[in-house]
Amino acid sequence: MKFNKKTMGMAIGMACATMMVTPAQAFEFGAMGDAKYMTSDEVDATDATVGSSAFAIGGLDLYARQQIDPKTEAFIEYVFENDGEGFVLDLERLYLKRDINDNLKVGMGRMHSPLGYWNNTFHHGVMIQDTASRPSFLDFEDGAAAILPTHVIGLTVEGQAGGLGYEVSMANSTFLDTSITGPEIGIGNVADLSDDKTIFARFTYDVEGVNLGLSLMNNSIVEAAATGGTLAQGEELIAQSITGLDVRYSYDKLSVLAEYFMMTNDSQTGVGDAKSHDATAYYLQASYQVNDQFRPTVRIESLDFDSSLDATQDAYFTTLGRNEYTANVVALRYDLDDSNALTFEYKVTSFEDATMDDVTEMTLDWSFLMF
Amino acid sequence: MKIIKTSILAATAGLSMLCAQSYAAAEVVIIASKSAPVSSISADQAKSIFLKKSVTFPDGSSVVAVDLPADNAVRDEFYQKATNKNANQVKSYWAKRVFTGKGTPNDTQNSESAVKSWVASGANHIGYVSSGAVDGSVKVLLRLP
Repeated sequence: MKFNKKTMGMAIGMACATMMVTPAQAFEFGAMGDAKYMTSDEVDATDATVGSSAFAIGGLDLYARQQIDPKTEAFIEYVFENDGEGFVLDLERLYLKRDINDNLKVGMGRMHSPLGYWNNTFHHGVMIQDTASRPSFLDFEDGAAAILPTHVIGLTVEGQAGGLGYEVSMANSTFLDTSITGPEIGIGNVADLSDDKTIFARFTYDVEGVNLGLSLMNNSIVEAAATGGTLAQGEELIAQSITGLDVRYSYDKLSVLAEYFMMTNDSQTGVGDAKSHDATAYYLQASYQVNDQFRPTVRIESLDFDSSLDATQDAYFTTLGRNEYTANVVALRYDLDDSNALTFEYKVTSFEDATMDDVTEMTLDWSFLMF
Repeated sequence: MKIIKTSILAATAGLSMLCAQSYAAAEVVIIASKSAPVSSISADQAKSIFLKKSVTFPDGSSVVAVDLPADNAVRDEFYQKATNKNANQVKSYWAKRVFTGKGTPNDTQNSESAVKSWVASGANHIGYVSSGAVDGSVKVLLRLP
């Protein structure tokens, strides 16, 4: 959700005002941010270098929560981030949640999509990740590698039933503007182009120290283009369903985190080949806490779908302009303190398309947490 | 005169250090209502309860913990002993829990006497005070010397 300069100024003023609220009002405020040095050897189709070596500031995440009455909490989160053309202010989360009883909570607003563990937990919190980057296929909606709606605007019900944690959400549908090349995955903050709402469900369960998660999503992706699109505005382009599995396990100093997503995209009449296509995405990450400061991590990640290399193409990924890939990540995190950490990351991305060169990226990230 | 002033300053500084040292060695106790369903808890259980990783007493009944305010010396002492975290680390812990939606800090009471009153008022209430502040209105579940 992007703002112009005037609304950005108002938002900054509001953020500053909220920062001055006294602790007596049980107002919790935090901020996360990072600065980094990155190198990339990425080249374009003509072999011209598009990667660079540069210092950069990452996002600045400001978040606040308050128990506004004994049963109701309010949460807001703004992020200043570079969208490639300059810094913009994004409203990432804004929601209210109310305790109905000890095991049931109802919320409404803009929240993290309950899709898997990483998206739900770390999101913009670089400081709390083990690596400098997140898996590429978990990129945010406006990111260059995005394939999932990482936020929802809707109603959520969550709680515990015995040892089972659950979260069920009904949210605005997502949309694509097919009249432009490589559109962002759109989610309606104030309106919905379709009456077919997206349904999310997430279930979590702990079995003898193993944290298991199951995420489900049924989504109607609709045309956003007013003119020049594949279909008329508001018509369904793709019926999408996603099943995700996540596993977390810690043994002594070793931590393992893995997520696997299965996606089915049913292209509607007039969209691509009008057929159903399956896709998979996964990552497997392992970290070892050497001591209080050092934490090395390795990760492998992959995205596979029906592309131009196959007999038929998945119109969803073709429209987004995504590429099948496998990436290997090695990172070393050094915690200077509980409030700031240095992370060195080495990442090599290989593409299924043999005409595309591997991309090697190195990042030195210095992240912090203010509270 | 100058020597006297210097001596007074040195004595004051020494006394301050002595007081600080004697405070650092002060015992903190975890207290509960006299009607609480348990008579003791372990250090690990105390850590889980005050960091909200557990919301039940060892017998399975619900428990609600209360903190002294930030910057309170007894609070800092308690968290150092019970969780091995200093004040900054505790703040960082809660900041991360709030961000990830996994939890929120315990409510606070302004003083040790307020903690005692609140703890005494509910069978599922738990708090901590310095050992010298304990009286007959509450029972001690764990001592952290």
